[in-house]
Amino acid sequence: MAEHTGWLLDVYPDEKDSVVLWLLGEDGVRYRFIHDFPITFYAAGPFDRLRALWNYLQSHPIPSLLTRMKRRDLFRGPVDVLAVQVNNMVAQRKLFYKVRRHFPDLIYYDADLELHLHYGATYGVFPMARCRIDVNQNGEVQSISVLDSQWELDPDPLPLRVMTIQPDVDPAHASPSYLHIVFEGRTRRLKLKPQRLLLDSVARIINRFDPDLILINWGDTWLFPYLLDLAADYEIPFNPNRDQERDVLQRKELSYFTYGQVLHRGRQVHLFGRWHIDRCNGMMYGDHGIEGILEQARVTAQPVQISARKSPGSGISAMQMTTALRQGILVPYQKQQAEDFKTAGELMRADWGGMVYQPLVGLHRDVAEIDFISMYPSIMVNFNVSPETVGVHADGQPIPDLEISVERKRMGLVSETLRPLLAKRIALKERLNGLSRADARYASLEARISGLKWLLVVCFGYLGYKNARFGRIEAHTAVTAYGREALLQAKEAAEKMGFTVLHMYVDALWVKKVGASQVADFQPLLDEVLKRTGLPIALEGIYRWLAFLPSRVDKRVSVANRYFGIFQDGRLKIRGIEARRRDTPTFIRQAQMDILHSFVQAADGERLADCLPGVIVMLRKQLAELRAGRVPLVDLLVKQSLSRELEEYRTPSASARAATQLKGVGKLMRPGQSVRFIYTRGRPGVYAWDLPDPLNPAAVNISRYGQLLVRAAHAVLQPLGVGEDTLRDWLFSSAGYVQHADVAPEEPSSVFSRSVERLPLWKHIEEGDEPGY
Amino acid sequence: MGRTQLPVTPQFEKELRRLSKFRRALRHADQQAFDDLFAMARKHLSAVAHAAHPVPLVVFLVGIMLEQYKEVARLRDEVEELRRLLDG
Repeated sequence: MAEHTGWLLDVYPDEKDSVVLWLLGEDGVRYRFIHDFPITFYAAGPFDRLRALWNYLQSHPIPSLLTRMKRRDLFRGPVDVLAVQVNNMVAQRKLFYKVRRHFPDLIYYDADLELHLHYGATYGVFPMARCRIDVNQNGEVQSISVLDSQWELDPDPLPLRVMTIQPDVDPAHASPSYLHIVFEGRTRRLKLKPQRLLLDSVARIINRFDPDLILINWGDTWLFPYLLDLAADYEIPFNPNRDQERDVLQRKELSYFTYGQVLHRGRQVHLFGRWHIDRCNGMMYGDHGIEGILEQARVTAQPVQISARKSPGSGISAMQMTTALRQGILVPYQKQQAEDFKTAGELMRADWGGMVYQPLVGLHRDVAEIDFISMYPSIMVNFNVSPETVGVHADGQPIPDLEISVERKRMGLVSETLRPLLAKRIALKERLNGLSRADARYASLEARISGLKWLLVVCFGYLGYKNARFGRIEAHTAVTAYGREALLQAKEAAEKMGFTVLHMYVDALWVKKVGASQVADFQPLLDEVLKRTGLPIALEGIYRWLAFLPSRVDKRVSVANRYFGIFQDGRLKIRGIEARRRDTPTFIRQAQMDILHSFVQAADGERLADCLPGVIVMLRKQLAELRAGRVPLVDLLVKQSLSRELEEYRTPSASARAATQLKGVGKLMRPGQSVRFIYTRGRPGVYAWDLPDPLNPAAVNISRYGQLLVRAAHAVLQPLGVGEDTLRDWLFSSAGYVQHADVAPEEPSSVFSRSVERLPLWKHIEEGDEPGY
Repeated sequence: MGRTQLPVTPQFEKELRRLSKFRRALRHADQQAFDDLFAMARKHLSAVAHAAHPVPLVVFLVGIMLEQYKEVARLRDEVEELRRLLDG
């Protein structure tokens, strides 16, 4: 018997050894242990069918232990089930798929849950948990106990050995010739040819350095598949796993539709005993980096390699299933919960989303933005909104706008799951607010908070997702109803205290009042909103000035999420304009950001017009660079994703035309993948960046980029009263910038004039002392 | 013959209640405008009763338009009067 303390690296099922555990020992040794861990699943249905199943299982070659019992179904209460215990997960899966084929009419529970969920729920372990493990001389786990918690704010840092690998160029664009490998602060450069030597060297380096984490650029989509194919061609063994008894696990690429867009997930290569993360394929890596991924792995108890690749939605549903397993609630194999019947009227009242206002277009000074912190999760926790608590008891708390109520006595499954997650995010966020941006801990803390934030963001969607096991649309509409009510109450509080509500957007409101410009001026409002709604709120910041932009199609109409402003601390916040969009070329984004940065220099909103001459000079210079061909081609790249298969386009978009060019050279693009291209003159008007021949710079469509530049510049200059035609005159006429008479506040549009005349802001404008609309 | 229609004042109150969510979501300044408009409709309640229209809201809206038109006509006259004074 030996006792080991360390951090849990990996847990996975194994046909021979039941469960394999990897422990990063405090002594620096990486241990492989095995654990005997039987899996139980359940079947429910008519008595005679269960009887038949019992007989079937008793004569089946895969042995199982059968018991009749009562277990709790979340929606149906206690049900009679047949419990089937199987020796290990691999056998359980084989048996279950057979059973399902023979008895398709039965209802199954806990049947397809992954091993880490069963194991985590039973022993309380999670990735990187500090554990004490007792093992016998055969490395078989006798007992395992967890020494810390996934909710720990300052978990012990793991002494991980990290290796990073990246090719010299993007393999989708050109053929790489080198690999840069970094470990222990040393950099190695490996030539990709000769191939045999490369394979040997990579294997040797991984073997010698024995990393816990390999971070690779295009590791899933290029490097590992490439190396594995080479190994097969040369018939030499290549196994980057730490567990040499296992082959690497490969998953195919996939296009899927979610949240209104088509996404693409590349091929995946998972390792056993160590982690491989592709910095370019992970869903979340780009958003919050390794710290965010590790934080997500910790709180969701999903393995690191899965957290890095799967959506936060899978994380939140893993957490819900863990809560269910711990509480002895059955997890249905397929969802059976149907939507309740509603009358047309009920549907009309219930079925809308968050509160979205039309902002008062124009430039505003001293605006406070007040945010509800994680509004929807807070509502779920605060008002106990969960699929099984909404609309089941008539005596619960009534929900605003809806004819149903929420049970308050018994804590719901979703609320229970979210409570610690929400508390952790709020605690870490408070800590972040106390740190200076220059602090060494700031970036990693921010990444962790971002990881948690995404889990909280998607948990609301999962409540209404018809395929989620614990989703129910009534709970989803209850959350938005509470959200709208909270925002309306906040608005009423603000107006009662003399503030003007400029805008409301789902979980935030923007207010101003003459004479209010400091935190203390807004504090009474914050207190009042907290008192009325019971939901946590925070002052996101006070803007020196903020511009809400009109719609591009009709400038009399405001749009909800198109604005930019500068906080008192000099921070810029921009939404909905070109610089925020992913498909905007760097050249355009940079030009727009340059204009915004020159605004930051201006002391306040009143002096903004003083920036104009400088901005025009800057823009003319950028146009000259563009015409002279001095803008690097890579800065002109447009990146757009394909929304469907190429054959399905009736009038091919620019991205479809570029993808067609790629198809011509054998590079197939799938829906959800993004295509990079440059606008060119003549037909077909685009040139795909990843074509083998480089583009002739003379073919670039200069006037198209010029137009994009004008449009982007106009978006941020219009709050100063600069019209698009005026801007064109300044940029393209030989006269250049002169103080035009028409750079004056435009008339407030008729749409607003009625409400506008009573607002102090517009009085300023009419008197002409503030530029605006 | 029983009563098939609510008396006009309760009908008007009912329409207002049905619009109360709309009114609540308006900014304060627009809420005042809303109240002004429906005060105009109230002036024509007895005419609405006479109309016995199946959708009373339509008639309330016509009442509002009527008042608006009278206001526009009054303002137009005033503008012409002022213009005459200026030219004169």
